[in-house]
Amino acid sequence: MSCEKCQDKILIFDQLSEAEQDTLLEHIGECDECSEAFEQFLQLEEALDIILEDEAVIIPQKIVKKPNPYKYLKRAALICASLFIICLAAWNTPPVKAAIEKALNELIGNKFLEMDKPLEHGGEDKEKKKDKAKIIYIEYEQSNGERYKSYISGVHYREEFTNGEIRVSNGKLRKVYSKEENTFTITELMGNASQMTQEIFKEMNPDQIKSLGETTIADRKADRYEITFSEEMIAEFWFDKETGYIVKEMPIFDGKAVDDGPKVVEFEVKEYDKNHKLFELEPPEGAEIIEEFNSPIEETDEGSEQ
Amino acid sequence: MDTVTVEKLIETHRPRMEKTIRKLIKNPSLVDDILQDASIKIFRYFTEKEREFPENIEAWVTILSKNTTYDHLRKMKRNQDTVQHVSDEYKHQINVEPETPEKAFLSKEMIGEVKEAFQTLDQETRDILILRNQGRSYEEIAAALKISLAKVKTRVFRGRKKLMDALKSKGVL
Repeated sequence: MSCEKCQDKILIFDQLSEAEQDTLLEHIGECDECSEAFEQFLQLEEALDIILEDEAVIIPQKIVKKPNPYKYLKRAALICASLFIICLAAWNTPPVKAAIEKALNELIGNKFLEMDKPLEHGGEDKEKKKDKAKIIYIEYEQSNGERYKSYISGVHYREEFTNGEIRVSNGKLRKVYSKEENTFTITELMGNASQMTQEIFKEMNPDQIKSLGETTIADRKADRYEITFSEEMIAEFWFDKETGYIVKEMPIFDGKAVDDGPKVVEFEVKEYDKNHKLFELEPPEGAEIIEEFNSPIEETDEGSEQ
Repeated sequence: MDTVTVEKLIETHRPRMEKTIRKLIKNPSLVDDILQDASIKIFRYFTEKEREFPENIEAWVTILSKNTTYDHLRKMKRNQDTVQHVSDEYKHQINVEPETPEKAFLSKEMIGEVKEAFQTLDQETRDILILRNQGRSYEEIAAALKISLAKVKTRVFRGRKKLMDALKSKGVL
């Protein structure tokens, strides 16, 4: 690695992989010039940490988005809560606490990997229905009275709106066809839902989850849980009992759950032929194709710096 | 502060500390070492003398974790060095255990120069660097500012480079 390249890499030290960081540090240890550049970088970062500590960034209103951990949760909170109940008896014994907490987090981590898998037929059905796929079908009603349909299987989903808009996703790419604008947008999704959820739960203690009992929604039984993500972010989740899928999610402000999301008016587990094309979407002829991909830094060409 | 309270404080903020360190360092065993060091620093800080509780404990813990990471990186670099090129004064400073997480050895002059250079950056780069140095991940910044991840990374690189060049030309670094 040339020193010029090395010094550029120093400036993006926090963006490098573990192997790249190790290689860079090795070179820094052998090269005076790069060692000095690294020291200068650390000093610059320290100075920035100090001067930027209290700086505020004005984020334009239209792009302000409240953190929404809900979509990453699905069955996660349910699993966590169930385990919490199981572990509750042992929990009060201090020496056991650390071990349980560790096991709990690891277990949840593994369970999350299962979350991305589609629903499966159980027992005898498994053999009989080899060529059938189970798909969750949900019809929502928005606050303006309009309805939309949603089909879900693992990380795949399809949403159909009354204005002709269709959205599909396979967990890595999201494709949206807007009939009104005649655009077809392909977006690369950042991160993996399960991984992100794992991160959320890694930092969470079981006492952050509270069972609120059972309820009914769209003629189906659901379990209610309150999850405290932080002091500012508390939310109530309803999980469909059969599938574990989230059917209602409400942020809690001043102790009250705010139900301002779309309402589930129908929920059904449907069966489709294995070769269904529900989660596929091709751009209609004439639609403008917009691609939003994340490319590596080296390949980015944004023109000259301002 | 009694040791039980301090231990509880460390336990409460451990995820934040780990997250901060992981944003800078990828090697998991190194992250563990730094986390351990940062925990010890907090423990000593509150148990060795009577201290006032920091006004913003989250920010305090974040800065302490970052500084501990920087110290580790310096130690690694120093251990690998065969030629001692760092000034004696600086070596002395990095060997001293900081009494508080806020480092004392960055001079007021340097801070002032960095501030000035920072103002020469375009608004978008400034916003990105503010969010980054306040502990946001690259993904979070891209989502908050609704720009691509690649753009965030490029802006961070160019912003830091511009600052570095400006400070070097002024003889600050």
